[in-house]
Amino acid sequence: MDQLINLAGGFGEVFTWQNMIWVVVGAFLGTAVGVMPGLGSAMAVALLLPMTFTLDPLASLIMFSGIYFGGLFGDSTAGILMNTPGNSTAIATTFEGHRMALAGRAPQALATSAIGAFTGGMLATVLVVFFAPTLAELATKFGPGEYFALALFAFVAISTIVSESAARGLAALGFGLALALVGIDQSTGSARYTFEVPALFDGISIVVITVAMLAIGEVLHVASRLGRSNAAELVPSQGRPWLTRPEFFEALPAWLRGSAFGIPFGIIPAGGAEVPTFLAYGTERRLDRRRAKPTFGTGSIRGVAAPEAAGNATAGSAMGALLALGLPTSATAALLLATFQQYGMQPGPLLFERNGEIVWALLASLFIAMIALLILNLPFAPLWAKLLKIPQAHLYAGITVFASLGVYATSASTVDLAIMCALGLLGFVMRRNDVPLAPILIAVILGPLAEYSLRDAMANSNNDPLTLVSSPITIGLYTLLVLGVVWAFWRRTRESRAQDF
Amino acid sequence: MNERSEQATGAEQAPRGWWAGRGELVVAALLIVLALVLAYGNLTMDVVGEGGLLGPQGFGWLVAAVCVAVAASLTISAFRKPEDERRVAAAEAKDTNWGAMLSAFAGLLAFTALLEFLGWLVAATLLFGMVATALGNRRVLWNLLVGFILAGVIQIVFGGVLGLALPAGLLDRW
Repeated sequence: MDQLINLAGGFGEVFTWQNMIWVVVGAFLGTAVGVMPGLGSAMAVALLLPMTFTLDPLASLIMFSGIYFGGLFGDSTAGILMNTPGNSTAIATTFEGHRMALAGRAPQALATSAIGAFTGGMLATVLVVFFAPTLAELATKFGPGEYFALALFAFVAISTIVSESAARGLAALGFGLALALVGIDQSTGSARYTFEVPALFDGISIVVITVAMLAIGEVLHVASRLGRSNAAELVPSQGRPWLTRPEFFEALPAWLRGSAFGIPFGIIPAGGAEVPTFLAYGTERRLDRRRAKPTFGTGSIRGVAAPEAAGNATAGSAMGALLALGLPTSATAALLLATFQQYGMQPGPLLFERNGEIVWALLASLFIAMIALLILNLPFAPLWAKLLKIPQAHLYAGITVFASLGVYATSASTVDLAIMCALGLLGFVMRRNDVPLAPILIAVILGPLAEYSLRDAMANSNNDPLTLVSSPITIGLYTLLVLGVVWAFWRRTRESRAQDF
Repeated sequence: MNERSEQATGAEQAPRGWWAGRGELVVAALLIVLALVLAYGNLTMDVVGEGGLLGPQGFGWLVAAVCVAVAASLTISAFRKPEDERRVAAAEAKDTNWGAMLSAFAGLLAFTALLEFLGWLVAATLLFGMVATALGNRRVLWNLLVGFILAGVIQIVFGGVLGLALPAGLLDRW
């Protein structure tokens, strides 16, 4: 029960009025960005990260936890009311959520998604509190071979298993890995691919890459579609944002099932919450077909509840994987990693020993953030929806200004802005050609880990490649990987034969 | 709002040729360029010290090889693409508002080039104005005013309260 004592200590640390203000400000801003059409949690974090640069480490991480979950609470709002999900993780919620809104049950859909996000996040965070120290202890046994296996697993999973076309996923992976290589080589000190530009010696910041790919690419894409596709229409959300008792109990099992799907995926580096949200949605749909009165297709409350809970559960346990293993499993987690490193802390097995106080305070603030978010979102969801009325031109111009601010603020250099322009263009080309963006971010995040652990493994074993498959953990991971690839092929051939949409 | 943009597409109704609907070739070309950059970087690298089996260049060669292989696979699939899939992709690609996209991008380039000379307040106002105008709001002065207010609020909150260093540019010299 050490964990509870530590957590209580964390709460003690967070319960000062300044820190409470940072949680609420973070939750507020995170929700605001998340609600905007086309923007999700990763964007909320990337855009707002520069704000936290000037704070002290604890305040910054506390605010971060508010932004992190705020973005997730917000991103289904646009999906439900306008049928434009902010994140790929909100797509599954959108199917039934938007149908509920069209049927005049928008407030109930928003409430279901807010409670779902709360349930999933809470359950996952509770598990993190109890199991993160155990996970960290397990991770102390990880050597370079294990870390290489994890990174390779993530690369293959995100580019071939999760994405629609393996070639396109691998293309994105290639771009990302190349971006991650730029800078001074950590083990020899040689300058790599910097082409005599001093600003590149430290590498290209993950903030610059995320903002350019997600924000600038999106702005350019929206501009290129201007006046072409039908503008999304906003469904007004009127009425009490509460669920009736029968509605609540109808959604409850779906929230729990969704969380169960979401939690394991936070620890597996397979690119975040897209897969579990769709698995949760698919399960609810199959269960629904067996009922006497199927509700799917007409706005099913369970179809909203399950994916939303799954998405946030993944986000919650991803936090655990980051803190205990030092392994970022999503772009958002990678940005948190960057924040830690900026303050000279290295997430991973030793973090709980070296910076225990701050970790427990961060975990405590996650709980507070979620409660603050439930309060901010449940009764006020219709108010947040007003943000969707900002004219498109001003909304995206504002996003561009904030993106440029964030990029410039990371190192006060215009070289970063030039990189942002170039990568924004790349993001635009990728969007046009259906190349997924997630593999780029995963490659940038885990590329260095993959490279240095491979080189360390070779150096430690006199260049014996068998060292990579010499432990049960590595063998297990590679087996899982092969199974995943087989499953992906099976699923693709089956899908091309039977479409039931 | 898009009188201009519709004219722009009218001018861009390129004749349907072999290239139409094979957009992934652009991605393949970018991958080849990337592989060449990596190879050039590897060949001209000043390697410091002893790097072991892979050294600082090994992973670069690996990534370059992956890029070439993926580019080849994308090219093959572009050649083999069935007619109906190509028609869908071509219709989608032709449906592009290049005028709006390029003017938004020009705004970003201008901001990058002029930020340190003009200072945050002026450069961000211009950036907002250019992007908002590119995205179809033709009330230029109104866009600039909204942009100025946003840039001012950011200057006060981030520069003033949070102490982020934003370039003063022109305003400093006055």
